[in-house]
Amino acid sequence: MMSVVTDMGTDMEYEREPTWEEAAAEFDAAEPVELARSPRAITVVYRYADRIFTATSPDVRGFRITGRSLHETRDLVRQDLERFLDAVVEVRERFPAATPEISTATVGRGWLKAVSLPGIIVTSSSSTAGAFVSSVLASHRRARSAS
Amino acid sequence: MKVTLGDPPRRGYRTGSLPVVPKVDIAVVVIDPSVEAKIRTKHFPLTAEDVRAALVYGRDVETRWDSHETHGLRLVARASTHDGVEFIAFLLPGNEGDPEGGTFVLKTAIPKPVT
Repeated sequence: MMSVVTDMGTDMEYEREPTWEEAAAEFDAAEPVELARSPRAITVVYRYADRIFTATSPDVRGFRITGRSLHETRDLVRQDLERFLDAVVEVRERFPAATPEISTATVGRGWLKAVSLPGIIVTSSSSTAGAFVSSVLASHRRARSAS
Repeated sequence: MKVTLGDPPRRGYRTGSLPVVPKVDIAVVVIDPSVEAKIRTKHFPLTAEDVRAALVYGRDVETRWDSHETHGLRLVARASTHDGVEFIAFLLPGNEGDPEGGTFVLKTAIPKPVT
């Protein structure tokens, strides 16, 4: 009969895990040392879909804030991160691409106009979506229809 | 085993296996997949990624050096995740000769039970 030998190693993951009380006792018995953070930053990415702004961060898993406007979402993000982040951590915000017009795939007619990002993103109602057609695009369409 | 710190402390000076490091910076937390799996399975709702974010970016992180008989020099850190789960994490210096280097290997993290 063949037996399989697995190298279990000597790492802690194969030992019994301490309970909270045991871990706290070890923490209390250990020697305090000051935590000094070097400058660092997290990135917050804003997205717009289905008329909702969503902010997430690749650096903080589980971080997800939604809002009805970019302004509201940014406020909520600021409040949330102030509660969690160390003072030395810089927040870098990444907004939807600054193109003349953005059409979200899910909404279809939910147009966005980006104005000198990272400033304000102006949303239009579906009834006035045509107002955000860029002049370049409009001239192309005119040229196409003329030919 | 507790080791008395040297006096006056000097940067990098060692007493026994416990370094006299005036400050510590947790800049990088290395997570082995087996540790991630262990924390997910044994210490719900904690995840290693939550622990890493809290240790690297979170506020109110308390750190202590521990010289363990079996595991050697360890950094023990107490903090809370973004979701508010308080935990104690055990880490080993990523570079044994340079505990100030900022790189630590996460070994485990224990969440505080919800009462």
